[in-house]
Amino acid sequence: MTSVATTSTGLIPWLLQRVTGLLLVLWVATHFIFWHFGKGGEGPLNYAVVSAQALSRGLPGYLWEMALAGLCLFHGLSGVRNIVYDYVVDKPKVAWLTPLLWAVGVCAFLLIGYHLHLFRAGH
Amino acid sequence: MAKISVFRYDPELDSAGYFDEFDVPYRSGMTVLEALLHILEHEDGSLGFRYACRSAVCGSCAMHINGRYRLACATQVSDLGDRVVVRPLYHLPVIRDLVVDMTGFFQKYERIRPWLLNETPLGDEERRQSPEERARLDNLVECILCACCHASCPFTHTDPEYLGPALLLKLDRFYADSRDLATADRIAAADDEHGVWRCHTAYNCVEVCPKDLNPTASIARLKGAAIKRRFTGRAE
Ligand code: SF4
Ligand code: SF4
Ligand code: FES
Repeated sequence: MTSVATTSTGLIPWLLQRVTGLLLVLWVATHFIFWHFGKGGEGPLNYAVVSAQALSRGLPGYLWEMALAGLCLFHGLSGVRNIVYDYVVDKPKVAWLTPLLWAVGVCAFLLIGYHLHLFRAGH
Repeated sequence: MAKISVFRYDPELDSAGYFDEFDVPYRSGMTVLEALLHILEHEDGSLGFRYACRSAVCGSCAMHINGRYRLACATQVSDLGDRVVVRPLYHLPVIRDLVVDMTGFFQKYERIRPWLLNETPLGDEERRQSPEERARLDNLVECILCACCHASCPFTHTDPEYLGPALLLKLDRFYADSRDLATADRIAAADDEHGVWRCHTAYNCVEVCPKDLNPTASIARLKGAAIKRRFTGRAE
């Protein structure tokens, strides 16, 4: 049978969007548990409490939060890509889109990593 | 009297569409199609619309009636309130008045090969199915190709190449058929950016289907089959 399919793209981005969405739910939950409500929970939840919690997690906590940043960025930017592709179906016209989104994602990821690192080092 | 407001457009005369108002003598049980036929016979013989079976079987009288895609022959005027507003199906070019151009829809329909693909020679009897195998086709064979779902889907508008809910349901109908031997090709036809991956599960198609079918479920099934085929190489 001659397939009507013109390309076979679409599956992997669709799957990654779902997988990152699912992982985000877990990561956000752990983020709140570890950073906000992790130890004791006495007194009001304020910046000092949250930063103390964050610092007490050390390098594993840093890497965990970087994973959360990566998931957020991938899920969000892949969503932007999906929206654009829904309206501009002539893909060559927006060939620059995926590299641009990757560049934005990587820069934002590095920036977040740098600032989280400063936050840790500053204490 | 029933007040009927009908979309009018003649590409040779009009630069844009407009609505004509008609007062149609109401009788109990009157359908929108009967009201349109009354207008055609007694008020304006130039009104363009399609119909054939008058019994919700052929799918040709699908229209946008009071904010919803429906079959004119299966919609009673009494269910629609004081005023009936009739427009053509969206996302398909208007040829005239309520008649839309279904060429693109049926070209894509032909491309998915909506017939059994099975080249094993037929013996003395027909290809048999067990009751369980036949049960998998329940509902799927009920589609009357009215295109209500196609018109309601946001992505048939933004992507003219998108197969759309009706044709993906049809693909699923053959994918599910134990007598069809082109399973891998059926999945490949769906596994495309203009196929199942274009669907965002908005459920408009499910809401409007006059036959209560579920194209979204068909799309989900085909997505599952495509993922399985991609990662295991198995088409089943
Ligand atoms: S799935 Fe329903 S709405 Fe869509 S074409 Fe078939 S009968 Fe019409
Ligand atoms: S569920 Fe998918 S096919 Fe159905 S209307 Fe929504 S996007 Fe279109
Ligand atoms: S006239 Fe055939 S479905 Fe309405």
